[in-house]
Amino acid sequence: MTSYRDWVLSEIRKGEDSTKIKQITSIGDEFLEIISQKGHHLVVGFADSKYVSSKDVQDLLATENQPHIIIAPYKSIWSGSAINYARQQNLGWGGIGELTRAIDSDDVAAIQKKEYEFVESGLNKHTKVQRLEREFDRVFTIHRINGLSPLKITLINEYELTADHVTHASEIYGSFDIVLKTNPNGNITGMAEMAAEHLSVKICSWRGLLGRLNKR
Amino acid sequence: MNPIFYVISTVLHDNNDITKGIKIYAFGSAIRSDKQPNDIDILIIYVEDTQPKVIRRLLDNMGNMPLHLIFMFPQEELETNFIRAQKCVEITALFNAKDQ
Repeated sequence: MTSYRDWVLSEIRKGEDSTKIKQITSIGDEFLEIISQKGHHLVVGFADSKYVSSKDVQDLLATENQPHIIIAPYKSIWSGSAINYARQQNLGWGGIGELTRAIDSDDVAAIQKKEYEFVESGLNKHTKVQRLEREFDRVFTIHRINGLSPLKITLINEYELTADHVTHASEIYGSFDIVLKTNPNGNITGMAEMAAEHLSVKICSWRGLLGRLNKR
Repeated sequence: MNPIFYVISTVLHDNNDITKGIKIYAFGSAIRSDKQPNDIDILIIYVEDTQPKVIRRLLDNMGNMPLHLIFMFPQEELETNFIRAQKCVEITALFNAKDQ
């Protein structure tokens, strides 16, 4: 099977973003170097792993290729420590979508999925939020002020939220208090609500979560 | 039509002791557009609680193209009217049509 790096290379070459690129070069097995038409230089590191750990990020940084962004396959799960480490090193992180956004970005270090940007930025502005702890790519523990108990939330970006989405999230990430439905459109099925109740989990919209943060 | 639909259908039908009773549909850009799709959208209507986990494992090695799987019980499909709303196409119809 084609490696993830080579698959991304081929997708970029045939995709709409190819017009933004002047030159793209493979470096070893785990890196690409991209020079854009505007003259931006971007080194991309590839973590071809189902579970991206901080060691994966460290290993990519331990080479002479010093990446600006690290990307992983769509189904990879990033640990909180991998994300924190990447950010401490001023690296963007994500998948092929984030790579294409990074090509002409002036702030590659800030790049992550827009869904996560929105949630992080919104939660950090909430008056009851003391700090956010990244558990996984889709899981945050929200530490609150005034002795309010922490809440662990899992982000699910689906149009129709089903029972399986809730159950599958708990299989991947373990226990949590709240599912945040990050897609503002669509619905939550009755069976999704039942699955959540079975796991003692509450499903919230964005607005619902902001209100929940004010309560005990 | 993207050959991945044929592969998915074959893998799931070859394991029909586990996948008995499921229905498989495709939807989204991969069946509508001539452009390169960003992902492959698949709806699976299932009947046993254990099926999603096993089916995910069966479809784990489908390459690097993102496979977006949605599992619904029949009641959830009825509630959301998903097949009609998303213009889902039963997966076998895709490659049968191509063969004709």
